[in-house]
Amino acid sequence: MQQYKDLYNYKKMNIIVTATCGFGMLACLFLEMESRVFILTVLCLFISFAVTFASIFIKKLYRVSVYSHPILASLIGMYLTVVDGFGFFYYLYGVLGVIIAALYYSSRSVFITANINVVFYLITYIFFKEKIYILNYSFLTFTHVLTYVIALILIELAMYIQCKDGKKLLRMQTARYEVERQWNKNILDNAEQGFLTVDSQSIIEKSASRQCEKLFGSRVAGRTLGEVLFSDDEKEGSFINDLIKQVFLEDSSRKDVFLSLLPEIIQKGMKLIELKYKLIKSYRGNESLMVITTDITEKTEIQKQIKLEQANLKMIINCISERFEVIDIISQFREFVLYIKSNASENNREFSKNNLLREAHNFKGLFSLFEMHNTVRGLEKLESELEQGQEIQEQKLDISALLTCLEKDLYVIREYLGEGFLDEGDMEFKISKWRFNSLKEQVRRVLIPEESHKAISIIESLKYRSIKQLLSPYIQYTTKLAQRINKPIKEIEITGADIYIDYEKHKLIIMSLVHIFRNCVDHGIEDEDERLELNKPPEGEIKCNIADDGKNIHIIIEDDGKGIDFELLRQLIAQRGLLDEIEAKSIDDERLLEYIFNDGFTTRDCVTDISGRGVGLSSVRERVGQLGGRIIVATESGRGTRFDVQFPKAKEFGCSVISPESYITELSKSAMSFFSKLSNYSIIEGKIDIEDASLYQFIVMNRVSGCFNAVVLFSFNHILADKIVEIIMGQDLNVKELNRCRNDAMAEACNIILGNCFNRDNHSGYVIDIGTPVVIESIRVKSAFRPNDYLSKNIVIENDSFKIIIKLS
Amino acid sequence: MANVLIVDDSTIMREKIKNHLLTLGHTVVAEAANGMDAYSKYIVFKPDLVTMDISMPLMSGIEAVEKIIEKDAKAKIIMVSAMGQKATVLEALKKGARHYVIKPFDKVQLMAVIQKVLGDK
Repeated sequence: MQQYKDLYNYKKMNIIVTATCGFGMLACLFLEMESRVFILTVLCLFISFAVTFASIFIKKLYRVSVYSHPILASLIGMYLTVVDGFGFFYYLYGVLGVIIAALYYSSRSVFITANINVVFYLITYIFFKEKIYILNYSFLTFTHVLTYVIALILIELAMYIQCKDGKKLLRMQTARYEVERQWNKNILDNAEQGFLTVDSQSIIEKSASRQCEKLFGSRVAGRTLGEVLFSDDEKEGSFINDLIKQVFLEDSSRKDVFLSLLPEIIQKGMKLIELKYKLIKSYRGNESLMVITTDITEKTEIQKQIKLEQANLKMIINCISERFEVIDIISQFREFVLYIKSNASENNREFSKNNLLREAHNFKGLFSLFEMHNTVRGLEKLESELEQGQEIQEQKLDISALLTCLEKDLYVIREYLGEGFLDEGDMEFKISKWRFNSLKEQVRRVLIPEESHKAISIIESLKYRSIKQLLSPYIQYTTKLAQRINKPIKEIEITGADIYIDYEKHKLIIMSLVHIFRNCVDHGIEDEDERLELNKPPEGEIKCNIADDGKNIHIIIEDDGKGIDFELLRQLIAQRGLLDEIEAKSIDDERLLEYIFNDGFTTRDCVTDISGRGVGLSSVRERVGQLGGRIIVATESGRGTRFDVQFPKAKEFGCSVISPESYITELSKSAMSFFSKLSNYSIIEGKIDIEDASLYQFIVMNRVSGCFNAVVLFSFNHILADKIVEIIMGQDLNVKELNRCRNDAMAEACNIILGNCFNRDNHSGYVIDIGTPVVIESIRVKSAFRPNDYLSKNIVIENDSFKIIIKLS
Repeated sequence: MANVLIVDDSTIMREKIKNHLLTLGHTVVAEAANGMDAYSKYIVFKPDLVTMDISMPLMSGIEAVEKIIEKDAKAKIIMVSAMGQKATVLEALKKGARHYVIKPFDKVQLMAVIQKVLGDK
């Protein structure tokens, strides 16, 4: 707006001056009716108008003010010199005009004005040399004097009006503008970033800062942006120019879409330049695009490393979650590459370039799903080369390069996950513990919390194995064992739900189950002859069922053998001296069965290579017991035995072991234990009050991330805040010290509360990440949370109130 | 929520976009594997939104955009492009596509673009 005013005043001033001069000259004309003078006067009038408009034009084009009144004064001088040689005074007046202008305006404008003046003077001097210093008094008539006086008065009047109106404003604005411009230019020139503006034709404007030239290594103004950014890639350059033209053509709501297509980072020689774009309105009112360029070469080197690590980790995570798809695509891709190779060399006609392009494009899409970045890049290169119309024959080298790219990705996968991962024959793959842990560690370190949380649960899922799969080797073993001791059994089928369990944790249970299977074969199932005598099918049957009752996981193994002989058991117990005979006879069956799990208890008299040492069942019970489970045995003589191995289900899958609701409960517990250090405080815990998120005077904010992301707010009233300072800093503080320490103390208190939150429980491993606290003090604070945005707990301690609010994000 | 037509020649990609859209609460009214198919399905189903792959057999995404816009200037088409196809995206945008996403994208990115496109009239 100011600038328009500027320009307006400037125009007004110039027009007034011109009009005045013209009027002055017209006055001369009427007073002096000579034809020679008449022509010259008209000529001068034209020239004066021309000068005025030229000066306006110059101002517009070059932003340099040319002051027309000193110039016009010179012109009149020239005119009068020609007329009567009295023009010298007018030159003096012209010089005066320059001086006046110099007092008010910027130096550059005055310099140009003065120069034009000198040119006029020189022209006059050269052409009318002899007349300049001749003061021919005989010509000095009354009319002449009147003419000069009128012209002078009018010019002065014009100057006066101009000064009164616009001088102050103009001077101030011009000065300020100039200072600002210099200042801005100074800042821009010395900033790390380079600034340039581009007009609607994608041409860089003159105002480009010096840093741009440094970054791009050459002058940038006047060239097109595409040319500057991609000096060696004409196609890309013209794309940029085309795009920028389009941006200016689009209506404002769609500009963003187009702007987002502009490159964010470009490589220029050894430099990496980051580009940011902003549409701005220039002071002349037309729109231009500001480009902020930053040299990020150094920053990028470090970030590149991190980026690569991130890209690799994401690829790994994706591969873990969809292992078979990955393996499948890799083998498809290998076939594809081989196919191209063989066909390209045979110069096959049906093998068209478009087909190849489409295939490559599809593969690129697939690989980018798994974020296998090296392969994607390789395919991209192939694609762009194909698009540029290169022949397949020349592509032989690049086709092999594709495999190299793939190998790069595969190398990374093997590095992280071990050789077995890519082996398609294996349904399961093994990952060593240190690989597993280091992968988790790296994910935590490198990925942002939102991503790492998800990634870690995917990695954690590696620990989970299907029970069916875990049991299958034992099934095979059992079948073989049965064959070996001549007790044919039917194929063992595992029925029930396929439950995934944490393998590490349950490994020992699963391993110990072999004893139960062995027991079934060895002690349960009868010989073939015996079975036939008992009218049972010749083949024994062992069943295995897996079930989940919500709380526990059951692995039920049963046989249709002879069952446990209670009488024999009683005898043995008595024999071994575990109980005396009377007790052994009176004991009920259920308790009797307990003895089969006793260490060293066996029904066999001699140890065979299969069983009889009496350690088997006892070890199963011990291991199940360690995880809080138990074994229930049911047996029926002649019908078989049923072992029901139960163990509690693991907590939630992945690492989401805590919800915001339980977190806030934990936090308030932690807060209470903190406040209980305040002696004689009786603590009443408030309820979860959904409606209330009002805040007290002191607020400590902290960001937590991990299982969920949220902002935790602790809010204290004034008295409680002071008490906290006492707890943290010790007593006997004067008011000044108290005020000084308060913020730190409160931040510390909240750190303690947040930090102690999980000490009470065994929340092992990564659960939640705590940021740095921010303390805010304000008398009137209101939170604007919607009711289902937050959870809050109010803790009332005598008269003091304390509030914990979790704002979920 | 919008009725969406998914156009992509890769089944996996279609499946992926479909999953994203369904979790965002949109309805997938039809899927097409090439531009020709996309055009005819657009005429039949009149979807609120189209996600359009660029390189496809028979008729490319660009041509399909051109044809659809010719028929219905208000069609809301989002281009689904691979990295390094910016020039083609520009062409599509000029032809009347509303916005674009670059593969690989996630649900959040897709959601942002869809909201933007559904938001403007």
